[in-house]
Amino acid sequence: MTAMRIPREFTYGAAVVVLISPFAAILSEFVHPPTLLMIYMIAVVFSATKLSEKASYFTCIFSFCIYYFVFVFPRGQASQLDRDSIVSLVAVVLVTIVVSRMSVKNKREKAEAVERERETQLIYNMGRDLASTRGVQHLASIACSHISKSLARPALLFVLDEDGVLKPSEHSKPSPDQIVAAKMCLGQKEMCRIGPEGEKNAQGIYLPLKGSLSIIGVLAITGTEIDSLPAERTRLLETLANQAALAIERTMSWETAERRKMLVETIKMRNALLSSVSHDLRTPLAAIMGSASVLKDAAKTTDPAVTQELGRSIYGEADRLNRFLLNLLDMTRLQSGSVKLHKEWNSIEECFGSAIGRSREQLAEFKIVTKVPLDLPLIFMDELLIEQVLVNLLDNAAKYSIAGTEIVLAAEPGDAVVNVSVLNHGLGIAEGEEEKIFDKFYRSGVSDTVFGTGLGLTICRSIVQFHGGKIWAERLQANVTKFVFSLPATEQPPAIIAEEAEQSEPV
Amino acid sequence: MSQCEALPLILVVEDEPEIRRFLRVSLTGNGYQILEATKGEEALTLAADKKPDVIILDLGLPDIDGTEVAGKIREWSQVPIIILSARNQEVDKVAALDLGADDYLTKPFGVYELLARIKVALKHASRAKTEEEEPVFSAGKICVDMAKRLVFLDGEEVHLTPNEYKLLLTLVQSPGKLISQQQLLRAVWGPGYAKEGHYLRVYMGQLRRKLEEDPANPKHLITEPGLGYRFCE
Repeated sequence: MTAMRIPREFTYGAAVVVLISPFAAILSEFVHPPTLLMIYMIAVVFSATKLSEKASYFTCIFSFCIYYFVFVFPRGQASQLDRDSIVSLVAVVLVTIVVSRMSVKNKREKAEAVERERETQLIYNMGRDLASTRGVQHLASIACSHISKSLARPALLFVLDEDGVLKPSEHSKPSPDQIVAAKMCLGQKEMCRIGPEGEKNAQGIYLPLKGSLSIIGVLAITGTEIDSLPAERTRLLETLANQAALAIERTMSWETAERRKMLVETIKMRNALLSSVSHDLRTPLAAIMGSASVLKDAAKTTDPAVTQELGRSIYGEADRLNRFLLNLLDMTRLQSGSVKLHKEWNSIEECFGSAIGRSREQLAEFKIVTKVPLDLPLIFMDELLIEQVLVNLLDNAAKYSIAGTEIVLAAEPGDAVVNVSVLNHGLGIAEGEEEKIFDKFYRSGVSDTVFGTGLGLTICRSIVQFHGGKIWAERLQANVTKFVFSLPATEQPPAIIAEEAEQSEPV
Repeated sequence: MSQCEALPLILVVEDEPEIRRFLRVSLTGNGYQILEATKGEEALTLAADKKPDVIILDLGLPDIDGTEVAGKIREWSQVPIIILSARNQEVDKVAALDLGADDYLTKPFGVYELLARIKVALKHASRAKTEEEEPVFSAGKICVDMAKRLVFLDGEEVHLTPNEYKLLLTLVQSPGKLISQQQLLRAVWGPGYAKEGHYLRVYMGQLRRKLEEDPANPKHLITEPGLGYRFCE
């Protein structure tokens, strides 16, 4: 025998009516029975607000039965039921209907508000995560996992790449049927539902991701229970899909713009390199070929002074070519990252010496002053590369200085660094050029008449940065320029075991 | 073959015909005889057969590595070897010098640099043969009296510590010749110090302060970065 299940809310309603009855019994001594119905109104209102609509009607009927069979019928006041009680009954029924209607509406609105808030939260969460994500593929996978979590359904996201191919987001493995379905959706440009009658592996809702300009991909909510997705969920799905589409589209166009910018930069670089190389190669080559063509027919030039002059010109131009090519080679090596530092404990003073030695020809017309304090510590550095920095700075100083002026090389210890500087008097640099002169192929406005590659200072900067240091230019006066680079000197050089007390040489 | 004895014989090992031509023209024009080899194997045979006075060896040879050639020659001969290297061959250059090559020139180079290097090499070789040492060496304002172990600058005696003196002596015994860091460290501090390059930096600094007018722009005690030191007269 199966017991009929009475809904719990009916039980609660009846319980309230029974609980109220003793009070009604006490009151019945003082008032007319129809008034007692007002007491039972409490139970009805309680049921309508706290329980359900059905429970309130049940409570209403149950209350009336108690009222009639307990208070009216036993006392034989049936005539009163005919008038007063019917009026009261009508009032109670009306109140029941109104209150329960209101209550239902109230509850629905509350539920809707909660749902709306949840949706807002979900949309907000996805928006926040998308905003902090970079890269289309990564963005797609984040959006996909958010949508899947929000709808409690497995989701797939496909993004159209530049070649118009649908690519599934990271870490997702769609079945071939699902890919076919996504392509179909992309073709139809609207939401498609594939139910159980369609391809078994492709069931789900397929939604085109519409960006502001075009469709940028397809979102699929997969699984067998797609028909159970309620209407308000579909709305949430659309909102989320929309948001994801816009975020992905934004990143896509940003990436495209970046790529285009890079391409333009590369082309610009290549053009600059080409024009620099061809100009800087052609000028000395022209001089060499010219001079050599005269020397080739040496019989004609009997004057030894002319021969000597031509030889000197060839040598000088070839030297220029050589330095230019070395700079290019260094630049390429430094930028390709193939340079390994051979750091050892080295002396800045020695680097000064060898750099001045290497630049002797260029520096012939200048007075070289060096300032190195006695207590300058050894620095852990690649001496060949730091020498290269000094050679380039000296070369630069020589090119832009007035003959006969001083070029000052100085080193001084600073706060956990050693600052090395090259100061010259000459053309100087224009205000605001202090940074730009370190850029690749940048030639100072004043340098039109000076031969150079625009690579020397860029090489310096790369080398100094490799050492964890900084390089900058200071414009001391209009015609006095100081290039400074700092090298970190945080570590102590290894100790030197002192010789036994200095003794005079044995004679 | 009297002429052969008079003119020093130089073996040029170089595969680039243009560089060979330049060397041939400039060396024969300056009183040297030359032999040419384009490959490493050929160079080894010629070095054994003709006993040249100096070998000029390019590092980038088509068959055997120049470094290896230098090493093989050193196994049986003390003939001075001058290496020709390009800028991106720093590592090979150091290796060849370690294996016993005497000096180097970085391409491109001028003829005067080359002639100076050859002169130093020949002088050093002849001195090693005769083993007679001049008791007093002087260059510019510096004067080293090796018999009395005294050093003078501009006539004034300069006080050096024993290690400073040993360092200076090692350099001036082969004036103009490149002495590698390892050679110097071994000669002054002993074999255990071959990797303690910072000793050299500190002592060279001290020596320059005592002997050079401008220690940061020296005239005599010259640094060859990454390789060693050279005493220039």
